[in-house]
Amino acid sequence: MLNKLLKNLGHGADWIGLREVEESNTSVYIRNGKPEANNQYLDHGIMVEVLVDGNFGYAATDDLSLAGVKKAFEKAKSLARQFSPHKIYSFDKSFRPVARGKYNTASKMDLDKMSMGEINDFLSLTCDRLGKREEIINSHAHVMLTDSKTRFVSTNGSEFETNQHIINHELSVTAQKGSEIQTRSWGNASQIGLELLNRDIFFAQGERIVNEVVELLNAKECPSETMDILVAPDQMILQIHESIGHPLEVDRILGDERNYAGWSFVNKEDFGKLKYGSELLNITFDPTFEGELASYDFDDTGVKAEKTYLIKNGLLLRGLGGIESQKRSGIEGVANSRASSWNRAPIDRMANINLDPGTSTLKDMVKNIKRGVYLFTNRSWSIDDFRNKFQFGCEYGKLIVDGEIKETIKNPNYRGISTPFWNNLTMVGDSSTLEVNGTSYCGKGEPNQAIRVGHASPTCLFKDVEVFGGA
Amino acid sequence: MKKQNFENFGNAIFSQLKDYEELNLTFSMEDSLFLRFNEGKSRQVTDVTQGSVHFTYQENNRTFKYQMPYTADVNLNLKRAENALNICREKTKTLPKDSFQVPMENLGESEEIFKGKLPTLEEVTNTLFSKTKGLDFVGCLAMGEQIRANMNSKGQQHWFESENFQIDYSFFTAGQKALKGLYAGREWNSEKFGEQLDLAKAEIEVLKRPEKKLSRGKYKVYLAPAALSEVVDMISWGGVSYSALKRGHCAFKMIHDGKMDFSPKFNLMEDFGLGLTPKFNERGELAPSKLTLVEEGKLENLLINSRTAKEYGIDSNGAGSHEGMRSSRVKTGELKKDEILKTIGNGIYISNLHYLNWSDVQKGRLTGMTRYACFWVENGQVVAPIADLRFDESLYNIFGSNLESVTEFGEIIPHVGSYDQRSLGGKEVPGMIIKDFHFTL
Repeated sequence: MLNKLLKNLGHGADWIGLREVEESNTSVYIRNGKPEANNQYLDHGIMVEVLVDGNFGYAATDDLSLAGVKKAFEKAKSLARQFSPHKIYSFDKSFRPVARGKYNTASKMDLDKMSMGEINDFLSLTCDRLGKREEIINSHAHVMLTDSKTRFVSTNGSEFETNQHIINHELSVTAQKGSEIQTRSWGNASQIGLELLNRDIFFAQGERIVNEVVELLNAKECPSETMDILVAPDQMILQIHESIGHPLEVDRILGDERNYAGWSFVNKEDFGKLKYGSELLNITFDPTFEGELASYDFDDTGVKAEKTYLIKNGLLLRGLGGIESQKRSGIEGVANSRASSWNRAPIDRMANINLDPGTSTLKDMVKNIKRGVYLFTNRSWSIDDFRNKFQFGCEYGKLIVDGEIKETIKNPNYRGISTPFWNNLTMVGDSSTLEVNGTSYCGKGEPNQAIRVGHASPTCLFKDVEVFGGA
Repeated sequence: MKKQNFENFGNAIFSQLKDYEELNLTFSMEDSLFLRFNEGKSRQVTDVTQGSVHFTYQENNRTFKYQMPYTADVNLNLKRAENALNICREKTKTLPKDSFQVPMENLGESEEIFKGKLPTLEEVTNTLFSKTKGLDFVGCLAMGEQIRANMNSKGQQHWFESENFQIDYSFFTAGQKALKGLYAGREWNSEKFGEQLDLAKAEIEVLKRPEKKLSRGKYKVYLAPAALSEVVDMISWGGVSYSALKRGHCAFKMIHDGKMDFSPKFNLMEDFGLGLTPKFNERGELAPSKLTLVEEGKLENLLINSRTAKEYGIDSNGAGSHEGMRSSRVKTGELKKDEILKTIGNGIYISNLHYLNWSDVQKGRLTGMTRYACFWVENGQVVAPIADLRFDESLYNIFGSNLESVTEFGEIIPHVGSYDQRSLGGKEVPGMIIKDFHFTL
């Protein structure tokens, strides 16, 4: 259908691309054992992208008829022409390379193999087990199944498809004892099929978070002092995301995001020179990681996606810039020009940003800690607009003293500054500690775009971090 | 025409319902232009035409929600809607009963139409790019028509339509300091926007002074309306929600339980008189024109939607599904504009805050950063821009015993968010002088 539309659009542009996105999101949310929401949302539209007078113009429409798409085409041409005299950079057809292929999530069980009723039954059974302790005041079990199809064609011969099966899931329990209220959760987002809904795993994880939330009700406050932190992968996801991923986005470095998401402490001159972290820090852009949330073959400009090192042995090598940002900045980049859906233009996004496993076992890392905390599961995140001063909070902590894991502590928080913090990376867990996490809600851009990103990381040890507890 | 089309669409679907079926339709549409600019030049320009209809289908105490695109093609919409109704029926058959389902009613009709005078592309170009020539000007223009509507099978009908524009912008200095501005409204006036830009160009001069680095500690601060707006947004994230209170995620729990009070100077309400957003929620329920949340420091109301009301056996007050504020107002006080610096004395003038989050939601404690034009003030005089600071502070200090004074003026701050679609709504907030504001990094 797209090729037929493209052929019938007419003339007046140096290049035309059509990006069609069709997405279905099915969501089941059970709270305290009862259905809270059963939803299915369908979204479908086309972005018409044109190159006129060295300027890209975009017009998005959900009217998929030839008349509707033609109208969008005329708008896109008019806008590109109108603002061409004021364009920030003169683009040409080389910014949209020819891409041909098809990407499919490697899932084992299609998303339509369970009815909504069956999913309700699965989550209700899970949720019933979450609420069995008398201290639990609220519990929920949620899954969202996403079937996303992107098709792209262009006048220079591109024709590719990206078909992703995605599941977001979460179990959460909140418990109260007197005035003390604590929450513990387990969740993730990944490219996978319904094989994810494994009863044994959901029941076991549910049992774990129930036990841990009750522990927290009786736990001591996290101490306030400078000490070591051992960070589990479900907190590393935020640490990597906020203090490595965002600062390396080249459109931020170029200033495009300064009015909203912010700038970056990283400058163009830092690539190849800045010692971002300790020698143990190895960071990749890896859209080829099977099952990770932001895996794909081509970005939304048609650039082939490949695994690339951004930071090697602590040294900053490459930025997160798509083809447009690479030319504008002169910084080497990756295939990360991505749009959140058919109604937005592509901008520099993270995709999968992963930290390579090291060689330390968990036991070795704990042994090396004289006094520290073991941190699990992000619950609070904040960082400045240059991506320097951060503060993160976690759901659950364990005190470590003289190389041994001791009692549970509540309300653990820590703060620091990005590069000094990464230079204090002292030990990196081996592949037995690796977890692959993802989030569907990375926000950025004007107009705003929420996009899916993945972060695989082992457990990591950082020295001399400012740690503190609750009020 | 659009209204008539939507009514025809709704009636055509309602006529296919069986006696035991109920259907609520919520309609959302925009025709928007987004012009993104950086360094005073155009970076990306996008036109977006999109619409969607959200079905809430109820039968035999079961509930299912479905959303489909709604386009300019009347026949396609009807075809899709018939398919949607079949999907609703099929899916609902397999679902368990919904214990907190609220039966649909006819809650009346309403219509609000705010026509605007939007700029032509030539006017945008002439003002944006000529007035800012040579300056490091960055931001985004968003403008166009937005529609929200609601109908249900009991005969209820609401329509809200608004044409408006927003230019959300910043001017940067060579030293990476910035001044933030917003020009928004329904009636475009190139001259007025030009004057606003001229004023900003003059104000930016003080940002060129050498930066002052402050050590962590407690300072007296002035939170300008845009900065206070960020704190009010946080309150909207579970702070004033009844269901958040019952589920253990409410930042107002301590004041609700009578363990803490706010200052009598702090007054917070929902006020739909601002005209920024429809009074009706997703179910078509009309909120009261005004609803007091905090009066003279005492908690008067939390926001309660009809589903929460059903679950806990209380009355709804027309809140939306998330029980957040849609059109909030913080009451003004007595501090005059020209007395702000003198009242700060020695302290920090904070124009904007950034990236707030709860550091301990149960205690109402939040963290965030200063951003844009924030100044060190000494003896009532602006001395220098500051290096950004991180704060970690409790709402019970900010709006409690540390709240010294509230300005006699407020500013209307519309929502400029555009995730999925352009937001509606906003708030009116004053500025506040707060002592011992705690900076931690």
